[in-house]
Amino acid sequence: MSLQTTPGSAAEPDFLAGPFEKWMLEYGKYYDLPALRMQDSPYRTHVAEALNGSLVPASLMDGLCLKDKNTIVRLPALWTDSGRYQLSFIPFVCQGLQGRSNKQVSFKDYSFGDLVDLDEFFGKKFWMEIAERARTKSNSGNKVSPSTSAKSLDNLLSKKQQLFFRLNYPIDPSTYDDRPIAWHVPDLGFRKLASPVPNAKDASLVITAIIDDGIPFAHTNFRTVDNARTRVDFCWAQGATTPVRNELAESRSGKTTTVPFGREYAAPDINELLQQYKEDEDALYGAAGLLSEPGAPLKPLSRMQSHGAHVLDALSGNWPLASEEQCRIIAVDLPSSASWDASGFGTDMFVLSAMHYIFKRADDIEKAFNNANGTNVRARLVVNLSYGFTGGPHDGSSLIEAALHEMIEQRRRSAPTALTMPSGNTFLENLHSVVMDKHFAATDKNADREATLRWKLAPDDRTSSFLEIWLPPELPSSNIEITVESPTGSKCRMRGKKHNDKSPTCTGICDQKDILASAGIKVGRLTLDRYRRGKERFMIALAPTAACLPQGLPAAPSGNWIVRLKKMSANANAIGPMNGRAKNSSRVKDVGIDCYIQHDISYGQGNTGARQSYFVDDQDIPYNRQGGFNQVDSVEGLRPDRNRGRKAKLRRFGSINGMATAPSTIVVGGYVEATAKASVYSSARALRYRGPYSIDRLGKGVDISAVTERSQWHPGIIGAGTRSGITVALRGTSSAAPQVARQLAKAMLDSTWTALDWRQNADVNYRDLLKSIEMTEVADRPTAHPASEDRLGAYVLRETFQT
Amino acid sequence: MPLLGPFHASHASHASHASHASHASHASHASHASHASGGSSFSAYGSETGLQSSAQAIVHAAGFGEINNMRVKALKFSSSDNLSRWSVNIRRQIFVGEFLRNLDWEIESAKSILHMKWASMPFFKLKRPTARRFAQELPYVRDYADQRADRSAEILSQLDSITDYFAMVLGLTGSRNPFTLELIGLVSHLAGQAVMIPKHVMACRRPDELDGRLMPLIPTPGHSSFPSGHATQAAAVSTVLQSLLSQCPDHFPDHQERISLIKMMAHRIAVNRTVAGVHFPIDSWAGAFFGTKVGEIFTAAAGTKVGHISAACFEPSKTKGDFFFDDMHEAQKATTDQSSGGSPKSKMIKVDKSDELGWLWRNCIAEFAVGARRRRGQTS
Repeated sequence: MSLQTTPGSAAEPDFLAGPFEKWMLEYGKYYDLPALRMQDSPYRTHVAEALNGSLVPASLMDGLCLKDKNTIVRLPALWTDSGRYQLSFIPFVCQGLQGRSNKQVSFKDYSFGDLVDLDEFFGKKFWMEIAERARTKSNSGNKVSPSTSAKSLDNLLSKKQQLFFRLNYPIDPSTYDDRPIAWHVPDLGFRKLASPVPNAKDASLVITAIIDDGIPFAHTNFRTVDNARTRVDFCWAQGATTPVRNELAESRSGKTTTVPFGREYAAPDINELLQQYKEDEDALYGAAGLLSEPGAPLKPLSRMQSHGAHVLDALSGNWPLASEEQCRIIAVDLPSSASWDASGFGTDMFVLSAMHYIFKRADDIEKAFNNANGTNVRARLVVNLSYGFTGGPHDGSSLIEAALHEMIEQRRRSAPTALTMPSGNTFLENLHSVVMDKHFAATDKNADREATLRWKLAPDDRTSSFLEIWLPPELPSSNIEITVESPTGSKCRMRGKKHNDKSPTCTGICDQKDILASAGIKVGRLTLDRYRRGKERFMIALAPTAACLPQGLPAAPSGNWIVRLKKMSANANAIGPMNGRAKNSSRVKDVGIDCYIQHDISYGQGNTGARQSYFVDDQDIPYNRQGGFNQVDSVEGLRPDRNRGRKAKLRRFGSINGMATAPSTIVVGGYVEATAKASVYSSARALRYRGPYSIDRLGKGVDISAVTERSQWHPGIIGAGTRSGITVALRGTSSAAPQVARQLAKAMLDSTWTALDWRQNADVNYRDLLKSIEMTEVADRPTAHPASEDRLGAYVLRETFQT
Repeated sequence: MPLLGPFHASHASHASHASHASHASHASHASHASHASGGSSFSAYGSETGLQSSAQAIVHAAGFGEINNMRVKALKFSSSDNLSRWSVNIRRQIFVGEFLRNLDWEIESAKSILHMKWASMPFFKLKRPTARRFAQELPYVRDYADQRADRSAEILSQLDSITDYFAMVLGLTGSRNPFTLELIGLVSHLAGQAVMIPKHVMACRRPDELDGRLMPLIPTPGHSSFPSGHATQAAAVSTVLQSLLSQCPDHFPDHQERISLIKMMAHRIAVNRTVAGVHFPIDSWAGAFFGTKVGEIFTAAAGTKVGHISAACFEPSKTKGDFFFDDMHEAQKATTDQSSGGSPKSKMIKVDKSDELGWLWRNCIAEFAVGARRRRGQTS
């Protein structure tokens, strides 16, 4: 397959999506879907990106639902920033129909080739509708948006849109709501603020928003101090069962909905639930459709503890009385089953629609607040997203990062907006390696130079495993030959491709080969694709290694898989070092080839049987001299006395959360309160070691750290469980991010910055505001030390969160 | 038999001393049932030997005459006042006998219906669920297994006794509330005994007999699944405790809240069995209904007030899938309501007072007497 196709011609499916989609919709669905209990769902979710850089006014697509004989496409309510927002990322739900009876196509019957139908639908139906709406609007005298010109509308009309689709987790049918979407703002019961805010001009409004999993919105920690009312103004429970099966909804179902799946609970709803079920939070969540039911994926609120309960408690639990009217909560509770597949397949669409929802509801809260107080303030918004994945380009260009960043940048034009995310927990998981120039060894002078990675697949793994190999721009794939060798000795070889088309719109799968175990049995796939902005990637997808898989499917052999990268050239040495730029933009020699294994653990209630694969590197030193975990890379150039002669490819530095590398994200690491050192698992930015004491820091790193472990003997920090009265200790950087968000919200509350100050500080993510709260500057430490800036960021939060 | 040597034969009164000796040791091991038998006065304990040798040495000081039978005072014949003289274990056996003498049953084979009767009056009608119903409930049991990690400590400690859990809610201690602790153990025992008949009659297979994927947390007990014994016991204890508390509303400052906690605890104990994988939700439904009746009978027989209870009926088709606290609560309130499975015109069953059970009840009430106002003539 070549990339010679010109945009606008009939799409080839391979250009419409990436290798994950290809795997998931071809082999992967037979392996992974049954465990995820979703193969019969007819509701697929996607995020589509318009590649030619065109931006479409969100107001034209808000809540849109379109259908033809084969396809139904339905968008959630979109934030429009009062008509100003033009976006390039479209979240939507899609159903396929077939036959005269319009039978719904279930997920397991959906194939990669069906993306062509989807593309055609957009090409023929969708853009026509948008253009029609635009015309109607301008004909009626309303400007579609201040900067939409006739020319860009014509672009829409001429179907020159080239789209790229991301496939995400299907929607559980019991949570789908097919009523038309109509936005509705309930009376939130805002009253004029009493003292100590007598002067309306001094009133500030802060909103702490959370996107998480298993959020007990009725918990006492999220009520006013007198326990009389909730502080949660809005909660979109994306995984709640919907009207047909939901007791509460039956009594109040109208003809429209504000959300396409799940249920929305606004403050009046929550207060009513609290009144009705005051003795019994079990019954409350049962009535709200949030407890486990047979035949549907299990729900986290049936358990005693959940991720979302703990994170929201850290973010906004037990808020002080003095400012409880001015600090509001918006929550989005993702469907927990979307997190069960840790490989990154799952959540983009859900997270993006969550962000739209939060921004939209923030506008509603702002209006109600201003009406009640006669003010004209903009809500200061802090969003906490304690999610992540290990793969991705790690430079802010992954699709979800770009989509969230685009929204944040838009809102920052007129209102303070911050996003906090955890740095990740994979520092010591052996999931990241970097192949440098020096790793390409030649056995003799004229031989091709080859670098080797050892990828160990655990036995009894019941989910697929993925390894991504990202090529830096200076090393095009045409210079590389990759060989994947199985533990049984069979080999799969692929040579990279030369591209004529260098345009950033040229994305998609360039080449693919089946990986065979012995006797020609397909157990995996090797793909070369071009991701956004033309970044090239080899992706290796391997089947589960467990025996007794569904329908007698073949298992990939477990053990050591060898991945060889060979530099091809008559004169291999002629290929220069891989150059890249460091954070401070001085030229860096040898950025290297970043290799990431996708996270693959059995998370939550999914019982998927996932087992993590990992890199094996005999150059890496796993324990330090004292017998503790070695927390530095084994590379000469760092701690030369210990690392003499070492050139490990395995890296701890560079394990940073692949979803948190956009410039507008505040990255939060975790540390141990008793020792003031980074928690051993807290991920960190990429480092490159040029020579002794000569280190370059690449890409996004930890900005600031908060406590995630009380001591070596008291793991985790205490926070709320799923019912009032339950407290649990939770470990991980997921608890650090909301602590920083909380402090940032408090600082925003008291800040007297002008609109200009806010806009100017946005570029540094309000760092100067963070400095005004109880932050301790990180002391000067040797590079990469567990108490250094490389692990902790520039500041640590000393005030620990206490439930 | 201690070796008392050649003098033993001439001291016939030693026989009574021998039993006195074992009785003395019994007083110090009041809760050990194994010492209940008057048994051999020869034992490994040094005290018996010491008691006997000192007995020999001093007996002469009591003279050699006959006991004056005019001075022998007898205990009251067949009086509950004497209960304080017996050990807890003996009392339990008496109470159990007292209860079981009135418990009877009747079977309608063709319809798979059992009538439990009290003093020949039917008070509980139980119909067996269909095989289809049990199969439909298997997904619940599978899904509840998700909570095994959360609840295994409770499940394992509730294998033999649920008393500690209710004691925790009411702040009971051995020194302050010996009778209430005895009450809880007794009611639990009675309910457990009573439910064995329906279990045997209904003869329903356990979840792990129908679905091999359940692999329960604990060994499946050796009796039928429906109704659930734990649900019966928990509901009976809950009913009795609620009744007890409602007669002492001033003892706790948070009286109503404790009653809520008792109900929730009973529910959780019942559901723990589903989590463990040894019961279907419908087992808990039926157990809760039946246990409530047992509790009501007990209260009526033992208490100072109600002498009648309403008959109830458990009709499987009238209950929804999962077993919920709120619904159980409703069911207990509306046992006469047809929609919850009761018969349309529920009969009221007369329950005669039992002196013996009343004795225990009065002693329990006395343990919650803080703040109680005594009115003239009021029995405590």
